[in-house]
Amino acid sequence: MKLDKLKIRRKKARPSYPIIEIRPNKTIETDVNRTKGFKSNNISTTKYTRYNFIFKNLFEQFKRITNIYFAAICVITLIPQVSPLSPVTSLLPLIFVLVVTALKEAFEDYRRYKADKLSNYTQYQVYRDGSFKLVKSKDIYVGDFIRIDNDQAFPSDILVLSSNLEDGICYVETSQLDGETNLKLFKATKETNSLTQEQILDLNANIECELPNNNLYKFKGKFTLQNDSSTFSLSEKQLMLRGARLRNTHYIIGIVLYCGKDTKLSLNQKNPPSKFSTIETRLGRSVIGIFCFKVVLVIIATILSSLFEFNTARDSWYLHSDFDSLGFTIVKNFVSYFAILSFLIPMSLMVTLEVVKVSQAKYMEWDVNMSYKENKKYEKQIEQPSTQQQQQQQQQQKQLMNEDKTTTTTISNGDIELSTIITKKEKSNIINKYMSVKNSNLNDELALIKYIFSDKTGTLTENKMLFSKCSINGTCFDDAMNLQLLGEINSKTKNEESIREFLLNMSLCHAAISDVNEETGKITYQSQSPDEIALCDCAKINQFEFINRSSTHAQIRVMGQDKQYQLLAIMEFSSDRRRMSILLREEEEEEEEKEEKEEKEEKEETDDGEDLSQSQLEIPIDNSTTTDIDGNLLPPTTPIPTITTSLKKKKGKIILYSKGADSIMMERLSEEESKSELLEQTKEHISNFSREGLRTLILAKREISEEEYLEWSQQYHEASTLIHDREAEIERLNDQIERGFRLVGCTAIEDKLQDGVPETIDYLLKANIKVWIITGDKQETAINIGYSCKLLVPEIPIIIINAESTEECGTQIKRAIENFIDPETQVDKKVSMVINGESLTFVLKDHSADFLKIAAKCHSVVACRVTPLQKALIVRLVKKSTKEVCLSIGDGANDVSMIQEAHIGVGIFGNEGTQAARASDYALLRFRHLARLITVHGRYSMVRNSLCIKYSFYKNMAFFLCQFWFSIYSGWTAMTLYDSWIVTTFNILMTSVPPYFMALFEKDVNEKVISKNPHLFKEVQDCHLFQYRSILNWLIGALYHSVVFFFGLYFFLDGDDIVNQWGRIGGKELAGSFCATFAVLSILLKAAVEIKHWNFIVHIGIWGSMVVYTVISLVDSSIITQIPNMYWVFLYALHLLKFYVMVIIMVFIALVPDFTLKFVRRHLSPTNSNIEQEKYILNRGKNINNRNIDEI
Amino acid sequence: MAIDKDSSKRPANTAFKQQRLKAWEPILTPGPVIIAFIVIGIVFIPIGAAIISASNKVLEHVIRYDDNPNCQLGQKCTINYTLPTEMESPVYLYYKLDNFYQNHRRYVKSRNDDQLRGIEVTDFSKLKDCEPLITTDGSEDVNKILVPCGLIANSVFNDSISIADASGSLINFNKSGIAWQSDIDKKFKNYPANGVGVINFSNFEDEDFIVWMRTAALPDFKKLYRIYHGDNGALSGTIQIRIDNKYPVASFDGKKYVVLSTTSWIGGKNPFLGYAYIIVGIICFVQGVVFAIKHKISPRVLGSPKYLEWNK
Repeated sequence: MKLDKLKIRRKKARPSYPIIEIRPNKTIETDVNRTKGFKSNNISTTKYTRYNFIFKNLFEQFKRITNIYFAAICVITLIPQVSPLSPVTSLLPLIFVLVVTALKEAFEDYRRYKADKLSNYTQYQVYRDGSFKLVKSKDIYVGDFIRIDNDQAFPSDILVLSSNLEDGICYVETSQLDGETNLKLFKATKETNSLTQEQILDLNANIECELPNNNLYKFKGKFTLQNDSSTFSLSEKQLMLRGARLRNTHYIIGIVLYCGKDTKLSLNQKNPPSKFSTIETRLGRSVIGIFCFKVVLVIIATILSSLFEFNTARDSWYLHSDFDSLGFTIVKNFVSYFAILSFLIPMSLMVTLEVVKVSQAKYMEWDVNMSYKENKKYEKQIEQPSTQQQQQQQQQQKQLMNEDKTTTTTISNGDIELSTIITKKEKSNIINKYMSVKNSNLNDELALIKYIFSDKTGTLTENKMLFSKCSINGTCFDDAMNLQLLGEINSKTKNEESIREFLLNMSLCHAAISDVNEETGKITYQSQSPDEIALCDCAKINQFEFINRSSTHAQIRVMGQDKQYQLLAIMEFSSDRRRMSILLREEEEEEEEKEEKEEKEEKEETDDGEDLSQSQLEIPIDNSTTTDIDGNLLPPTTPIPTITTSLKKKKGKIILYSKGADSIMMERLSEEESKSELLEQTKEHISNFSREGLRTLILAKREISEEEYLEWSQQYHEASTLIHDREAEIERLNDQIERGFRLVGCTAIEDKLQDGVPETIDYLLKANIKVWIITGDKQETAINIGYSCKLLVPEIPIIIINAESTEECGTQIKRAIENFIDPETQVDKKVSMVINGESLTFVLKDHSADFLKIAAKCHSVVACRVTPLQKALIVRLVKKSTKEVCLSIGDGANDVSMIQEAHIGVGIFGNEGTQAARASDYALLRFRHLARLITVHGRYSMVRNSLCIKYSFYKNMAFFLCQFWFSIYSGWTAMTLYDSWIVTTFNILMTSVPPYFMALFEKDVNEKVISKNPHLFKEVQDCHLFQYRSILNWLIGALYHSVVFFFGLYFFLDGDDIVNQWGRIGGKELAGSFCATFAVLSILLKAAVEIKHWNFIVHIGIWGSMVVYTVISLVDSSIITQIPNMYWVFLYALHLLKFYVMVIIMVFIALVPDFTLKFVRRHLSPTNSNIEQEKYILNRGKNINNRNIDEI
Repeated sequence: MAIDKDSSKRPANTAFKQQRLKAWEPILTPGPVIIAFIVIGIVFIPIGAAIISASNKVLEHVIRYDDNPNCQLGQKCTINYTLPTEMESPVYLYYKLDNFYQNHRRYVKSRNDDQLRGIEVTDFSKLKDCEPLITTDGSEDVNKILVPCGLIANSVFNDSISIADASGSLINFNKSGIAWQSDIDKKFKNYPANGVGVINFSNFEDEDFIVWMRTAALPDFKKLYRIYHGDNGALSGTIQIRIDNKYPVASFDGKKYVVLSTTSWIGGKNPFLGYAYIIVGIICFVQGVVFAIKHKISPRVLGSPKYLEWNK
C-alpha cells in the first residue's frame, strides 16, 4: 500500500507527459522516445518477484499481530535463562504457519504471474524497422505504430490514425473497461483519416498528451505536424483504451500513447474497499480477551513465583538458587510465564481460517446448483435460422399475399424447424458457468443478512427484452413477433397504413448498431438499451429490417426493398429526457417505391398541415455535437445537411420519429391528438400492459416542413457554437422540436422474470430477510413486478408513499405509522410498502427516522423511479440506522455504488457487462442462486467457522491451562507438564485437523432440510452461534476440562506414585505423558461430540488424529539420543493397566457432562433445525420415491 | 480461447465438490443414548468396586522419621514399628520426601544425559544443561568437570534404610529391580573410572541413583528403595527400621518418611480412581434411568412439529 502511494506521488510530481516524437524511418536505437522515460508495456500485477518473495512476504506476514506475538514468544524461548520451553516448541509452529501462508501467497501470485505472462506475450503487429512485425505486447513502446485487426484487444492506449472504414471510424467494445457490451464508435481525426498507410508511416510529428489519469471518458492532446507546423487537437474519440476490443472493423492503424501502468485501465484498477465480517471482528476481540486473561494468569504466576523464589527456593539447598535481585526475578518470571502460556492463543487459527475460507469459496464456485447452463452462441444461432426462415417466408409471402391462413401455417412450420436447429446446435455449445467468489472473508457474514436490496432489470429479470404486444391505431396486437403485423399489412386491413408507420418508426428510431455477420450476411443488432434491440428485431421479423446507419444515412429494407433516409439529427435518449428522436429525410431511389410513397405522401400531407399549424412557433434545431455523458460514442449526428443537399432532394419529406416513456410522450402529442378517442384507447392499452408488468413505450412521429427545418437547423448551428450553456440551449431546441407529435402506436416489451425468482423471493421473505426492490420503473410496473415475483402478496396491505412535497411525504409516512404500528401492543401487522423516487428524496432529506420506523416493520419494500445514486443512499440509510447486515444485488454499472455500499455486494453476470460482478464480493449467474448462497453456503460457513474458532479456542485453553495448574505444584517455576515435542506438535499435527475438517464438512442440518424450511435461517441470522456468551461458554468448558485433566492426574497420583504391581514409581515425565494422553483424547472426542455431520473424511480426521498422537508419542519416547528425558516413557505407560483405567475415566469425567448437556438441551428445548433435521432423518429411508425436493 | 478456459475450469460433479459425501448425521435418538448411559453405569460401577477393593487390599504404612528425636541428622537410629496385620510379599520399601521440589524447573533441567550414559562430555556448550553445577568452581576447566554434573545428581538421597525383624536380624530387602528396566538398559552406564573431570562417583548403573534421577512430578513424592521378595515369609509383628540419617531437609521444611507397601494390579493404595469410576457410573446410570422415565412418561417425539417454535 505504502509503496503504491509513493509511486502515485512520484507520478503526480512529474510535471508533464513527455512529448512523443514521431519520426519516419526510426529504429529502436534511434527512437528518441526511448530515452524519455515512458513506462514500458510490461504488465506486472504480481505482488512479489522471484527474488524478493521471501523478504516481502515475511514483511507482509508480520503485519499480522498474532505473528508478531508468536515471534516475540520465539525470541523469549531463545533465551535459555528464562525460557521454560525449548525454542523449537514455538519456532516450529511459527515456521509452519508462515510457510503455509507463504505457500498460499506464492500460489496466488503465480496465478497472477501466469495471467500477466499471457497478456505480456500476446503478439501484435508493430511497425519496426520498415515493416510491420509481430511484437510481444510487453515490447510495445510509446510512439510505436501499431496495427490492430478485428476482434483484437488493444495492448495499450492507442491513438487511432486511420481505419479501413470511411472517415476513419471504427467500432470498439469496451466491456472490459466499463462493462458495457454495446459497440462504441471511435473516429480518427479528419487530418489523418484519409492518409494511406505509407503516408502515415512517413509522418513527422510531435504529439503532446495530458498526464496519465484514470478518467476513461476524457482525453486531451495536441498533434503537430513537423513539416508544416500545422496543429490539431486530439480528443477521447481518438483514444482506444487498453482492454477494449476492436469490432466490426478490419483494422486500424494507430500510435501508442500510454503504456503499461500509464494506461487508463491500469490507473483505474484499485482494490475494492475491504470488508470484514462480524465473526472476524468478534474473533479479534475474543483473542484480545483471551490475551488479557492470559496476562492476568501471568501476573498471578509471577507474584507467586517470586514469592516462592524468595522463600522456599532460597531455603532449598538442592536448588543452588542464585540470588537475583527482586526486580530481575519478577521480570524473568513474567517473561517465562508469558512464554509458557503463549499457546492459550491458538496460533494456527488465523491460517486455518484463511485456508478454510478459500476452501468454502471453492465449494461455492463448484456448486452445480449455483451454476447456469448458458448457450453462448444461443443468440446468434437463433438469429441465423430465423433470418433464413424469414427469407423463405418472404418469398412465400409474396405468393400467398392474401391468404392469411396459409401464412400462419408456414410460420408454425418455420417455428418447428427453428427450434430443432437450436436444439441441435445447443448441445455442442452449452457452457456450464459457475459463480465466483471475490471476497471469501464474508462467507459467514452471508448468514447474518437481514436486508436484501435488489435491482430489478437484469437481476430479477433476464434483461432480454422481447417484443410482446403493441397497440396501433386503437387495436391491440398480441402476436407481433409472429409476423402478425406483416400479415395485417398484406391483408390490407384498415390498419395497414398505421402499421406501416409503426414499423418504420421502430426500424428507424433508435441508436442501435447493426452487426453484419460476414459469412452468412445476417444482421444482428447491438445497442446500449436492450429495448431497442427488441424493437429492431420485431421490425425485422415483420420485414422492416434496419440495415445500417452511417453518419449521414440510414438504410432499411422494407419488404425486400432497400430504402434510404438521409440522417439529419439524432436526439439521444437520456434518463432525464426519457425519449429519443431521429430526424430524417426520405430519399427515393426506386420507382416502385416512389409510387408507393406518393400514395402515402398524399395521406401524410394532410397530417403535415396539422403539424405545421401546430408548430408555427417552434424553432428547428439540430444537435449534432451532443456527446453522451457516459462517453458512449454513438454515431455522430450530422451537422452537414446544407441547404444545397436539401434542395437537391427537395422531394424527400422531413420526418421526426420519436419514442419515449408514456408520461413524457403524452404531453408532447398535438392538441387534437391528445383529445382524440384513439389516445383514450391507447391509454387503456398502456395501463393494461403495465399491469402485466410490461415495459411500455409510445411511438410518435411528426412531419416537418422544409421551412421549419431550415430555421431549426440554423438555430441549431448557432447553438452548437455557443461556448457557455451550449448543452442547455441544445436541450431547449430539442424540446421545442419534439412537440406536436402524432401518435403512431405503443409498444409493450416484456422483460421476462428469471427462472425461480418468485420462489426465491418467497423463500427469502420466509427466511426473515427483508427484500427491497429498487427499480427505475414506474409505479404501476414496479407494483406489478412486485406481485409477479411474490414480493407483494394480495393478502398483505401496501402502503404507498407517493408525495410531491416534503410535507406531504411526512404526513403520508405518519399516517402509515399510525395505521400499521400499534403503539400499545407494538405488535405490527404485516405490511408492504411502495415508495417512489421523488418521495425518497424527501425521505432521505427530512424523514429518514420516521421512514425507517415503518420500513423496518415492512415485510417488503418496492422503491420505484429511483436514480442510481439514490440506490446507494437507501442502502446507506438502512445500514447506518438499523445496524443490520445488508446485501445488495445488481447487475449493471449503476448498481456498483449500491453493491459497494452494502455489507455484502452480490453482482450478477448480466447482459449489461461484468462491472457489477467485478465490484461485488460474490458474483452470481442468476438471482435464484442467491437463496442458496445465503441459506446454504452462508449458513454452513457460519456454522462451520464459528465452530472452528470456538473449538480452536477451547482446545488450546483446555490443553495449555494444565500447564498453569501444574505450576501450583512445581513451585511456580514455569515448568512444563508436557514434553516439548508434544507441545510443539499439539497445534500443528495432533489437533489441527479436526477444526479444519469442522470448517470444511460440518452441517448442522441437511441442505435438503434447509431448502424445505426457510424459517430455519432465523436461527443463524442473529449470530448467536458466535456471540461472546457462547464463546465464553466454550471457554468455561475448556476451563472445566483443564481442571479435570490436571486435578484428576493430581488425585490419582498424589501420595501414590506407584504405577504397577511391581511397585515402580512413575515420575514427572510419565505424569506428563498421562495428562497429555487423556487431554488430547478428550479434546479430540469433544470434537466428535460437537460434529453433527460425519463423512468418511471426518472419520479419518478425528480417529486419524488419535493415531497421529499415538505415533508422535511413540516416536517421542524412542529416540534416546535426541529426547533422552522422554525415552521409553510413553511405551512404559502403554504397559500399565493403570494408564488405560485412568485414560478411560478421565475422558468420561470430561465429556459426560458435555454430552449430557447437549442431549438435555436438544430434548428439552430443541431448535427448529433440530426438529426438522430429525424429521428428515426419520423419513429419509421411508419415501425416497415420493419426495421431490426442490433444490434451491 | 475463453471457452476452452471455461471448460478446463469446469468442476467435476463429484460428491466431494458438491458436498454430498455420504455422511452419518447422528440426531441423538433417546433410545440409544439412554441405553448407552445405563450400559456405562453397569460397566463402570463394578470396575470402580474392583479398583476400590484392590486398593483396600493394599497395605501401606507411612512412618515419618526425620522428626523422631532419636533420628537427628547425622545419627543412626532404629525405629520400632508394629505392623497391625501381616504383609504378604512382595513388600516394597519406599522413602518419601515432602516439600521437595524435584519438579523445579532449574532442578529438572540440570542434568546431562550423555554423561549419565557414560560418555565423557567435555563440550561446555553441552554441559550447560548441568547449570549451575558444571565444574567444581564454576570455571570452564575440563579437568574440573563434575561427574556427575547437575543439581539432580548432586542431591541424591543418601539416607540408608534397612529393616530388621523383631529379633534384630536383617530382613533381606532386595535392591535390584527398583528402577525402570529401560533406564537400566539404555539411559545409564557407568562413567569410565579414569574419565575426565572430578569424579564424585562413577557408578551410574546403581539403581538407587537411577531411581533418584527419574524426577518426581509433585513436591511430595516417594521413591522405590528396596523390595522384599518374601524370603522370610510374610512381614508381621514388630519390625525395626534402621536409618542412617544423612540427608538434610529441615532447611526447607521437608519431611522424610519410610513407606512399606504391598501392591495390587492397579498399583498402590489409592481409592480415588475407584471412587471416580463408581461416581461416574452412578451418575450415568441415574441419568439413563431418569431419561428413560422421562421418555416413558412424556416422550419427546423426534421430529414432531409440536416442538417447533411457533407451535409452543
